[in-house]
Amino acid sequence: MHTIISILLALALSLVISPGVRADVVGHFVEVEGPVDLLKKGQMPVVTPKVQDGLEPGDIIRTKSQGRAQVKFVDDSVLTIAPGSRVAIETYMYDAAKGSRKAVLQVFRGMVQAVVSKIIKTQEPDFIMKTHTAVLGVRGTKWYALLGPNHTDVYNEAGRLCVRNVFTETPGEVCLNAMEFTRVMYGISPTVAAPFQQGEAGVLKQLLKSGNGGGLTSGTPGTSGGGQTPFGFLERFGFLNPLNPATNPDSALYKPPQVIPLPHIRPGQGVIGGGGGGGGTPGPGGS
Amino acid sequence: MQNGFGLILIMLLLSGLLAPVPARAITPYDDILVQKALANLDQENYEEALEELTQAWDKGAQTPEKAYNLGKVHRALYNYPKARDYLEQALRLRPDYQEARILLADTLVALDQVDQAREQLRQLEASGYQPAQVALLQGQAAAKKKEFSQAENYFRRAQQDPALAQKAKLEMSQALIAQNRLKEAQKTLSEAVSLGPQTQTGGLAQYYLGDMDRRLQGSGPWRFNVGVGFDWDSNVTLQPGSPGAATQVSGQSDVVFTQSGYLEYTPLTTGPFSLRTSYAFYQNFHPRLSTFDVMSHSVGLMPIYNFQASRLWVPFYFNFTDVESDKYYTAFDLAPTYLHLVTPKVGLEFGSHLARRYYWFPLGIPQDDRSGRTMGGSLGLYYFIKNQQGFLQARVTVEHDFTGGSNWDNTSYRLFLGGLYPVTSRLKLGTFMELILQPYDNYFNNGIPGATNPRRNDQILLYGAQAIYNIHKGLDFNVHYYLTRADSNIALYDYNRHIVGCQFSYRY
Repeated sequence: MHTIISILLALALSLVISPGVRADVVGHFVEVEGPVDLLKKGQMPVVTPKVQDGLEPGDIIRTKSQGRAQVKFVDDSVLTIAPGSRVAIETYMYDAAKGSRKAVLQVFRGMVQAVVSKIIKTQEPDFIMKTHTAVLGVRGTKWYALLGPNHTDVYNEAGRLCVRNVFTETPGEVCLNAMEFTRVMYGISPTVAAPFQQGEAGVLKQLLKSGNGGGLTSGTPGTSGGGQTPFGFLERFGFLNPLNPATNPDSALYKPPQVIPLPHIRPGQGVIGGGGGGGGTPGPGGS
Repeated sequence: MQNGFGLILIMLLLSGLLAPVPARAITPYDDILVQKALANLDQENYEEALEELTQAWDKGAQTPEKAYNLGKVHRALYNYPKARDYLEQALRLRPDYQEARILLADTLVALDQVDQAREQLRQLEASGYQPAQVALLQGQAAAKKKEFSQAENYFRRAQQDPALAQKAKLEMSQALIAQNRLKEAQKTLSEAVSLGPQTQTGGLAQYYLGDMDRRLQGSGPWRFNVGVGFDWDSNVTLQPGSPGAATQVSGQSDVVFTQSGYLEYTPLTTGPFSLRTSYAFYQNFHPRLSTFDVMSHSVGLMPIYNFQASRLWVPFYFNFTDVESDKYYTAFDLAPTYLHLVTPKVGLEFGSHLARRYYWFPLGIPQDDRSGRTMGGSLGLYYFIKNQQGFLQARVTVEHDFTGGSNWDNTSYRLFLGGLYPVTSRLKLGTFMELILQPYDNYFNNGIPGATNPRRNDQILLYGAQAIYNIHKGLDFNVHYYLTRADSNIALYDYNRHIVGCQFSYRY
């Protein structure tokens, strides 16, 4: 009888300290679609993760061109990993009682979307994301990071985050407000914050599902399976072009001002233009 | 002896040629590693593939195929400079290795090394290898160099391959947009969508098509704007042609009914250039002070040139104004202006202004002839907010009036500060303030013989605030308040004026 009780106790204890529910589990997979690899502590062999599997600091997640994963961390922050990506959890410490967090993630390739919960007690960035060219520091926000061959594009959808080059000797930090974008290239300070449109956010959402459109085997025809340049189209497609207010239909300056000498004061929308000044419609006042 | 020596020599040579060279041989071990690496590449296990290929490269034969695969795997790991090195190595080992060459060209384009990429692409063109794919890369290289017309031609060529047609069309649409050929870009995007809306390229094309439709909605050749307003004016004043310098101050208040119209037609749009014509009409009525009723017509011609991040426009206007049905004022205005976007949030505006003005009212004394020429320039700064839907603005302007009568020769120095803030998608708030220092050149002559007057010196403050609410589509309602405070050392021109009112306007 004692033996049976001892065995049962030992079993119960082994369950309590089983790897899946260890105290250093910092997050769980909440979504796994298609081929996804997990490298425990960054080491081979790869494991195929399932929903609810735990993640520990040092783990690496690798999604294939048809794979996609979503991870929820212990502080309720959520990381969505697009197809064709590789992400390492370097550090993740969270103390709900003290309201403190220190998280460091490294993205090696691909695209991620992060929704980071805000910890009120912290003033300094407590969630760091590193890429091959950039370091992002945030307290609580929602953003997309897309990695290209020699750059990282950061689209901040909500909240505020600050970005600098991963090489500390490269000066300059750019802080993004909601719906602002920056690009960080090798050895160059981040570009000035530029606005992006809601429609572009829709494209990003789409890319988060589709990734870069394929791995080596599904590359651009003719490049013999060389794979298309990751997110290379973004630059060519005007995502990076600073919006010329004269050609941006949303701009208050989209239409050039009408310089009409009379009257001076008009209730137009844009009081611009040379000479008599005043854009918009003629109105009262210039009797 | 000679034969024996020759035989030894031949044997030595042969042994030299046939001797095993460990670094060059393909061993079974090497072969297995490469096979494993290729399998890992297929399964997108790039880190594993890299390890195996590197080992095979270091310890086995350095073949062009291994270099090519190392190039591929480094690309997959975003290590493009290393990928370039290996692909170049592959070509050194096998110069006719066109698969490596096209991948090298693609890698160089991605690395912004466009000139080197073009060199590779020229060789590919000469060999006739994958002409459509080469044309696509040529187009991308040209687009990177901002040679959009050339890029367009290459993208057209790339479309001949059905597998590339959608991507090439999408890229071509961007080259057309860059040339401001929006209608053609719209058509090309539609074609790209029709080739497969479900693909990633199709999805992107759909997004850009939506954006293009929105742009084109506001770029039709015709545009008009009509408005009716009601105001109360505390001090009805005539001030045609110049903001602060009143011609006649009534000193009395009145209500004002206004009506206005604006018609615009753009007959010519070629790439970044367009030519715009316009007609504007403005009329007001004062029930009590009908001698201040104004009717004004303006016709204009405006060439516009759009650059990547700037715009140059040269508006030329002719204005004709009646006061109480009598011809009162005519003017020609030319105001070339250049707006440059320094950053997406900061714009600089350079303006100049030339005008010829004629005042047709009867003169009491010749010194009061205000007709003349105006010359000036301005420098402005914009700070854009809320995705350029709003802005803060500062502008300094200096102008000189060269007039027929000595009473009106003056230089004006103006500081304008303004802003527009979109509170919601429907409500916008705007405000401005302009400070004008206007010293006149000559002693003021009031026509009284022997009277001594100082040089006229005006200091004018203009202030305005308005709220604009979009009721429905193009229908706006605004309420506004304007203040003119003119401090002049000549009593005739020392006055204050408040205007408060509202206006309905409709634009199409």
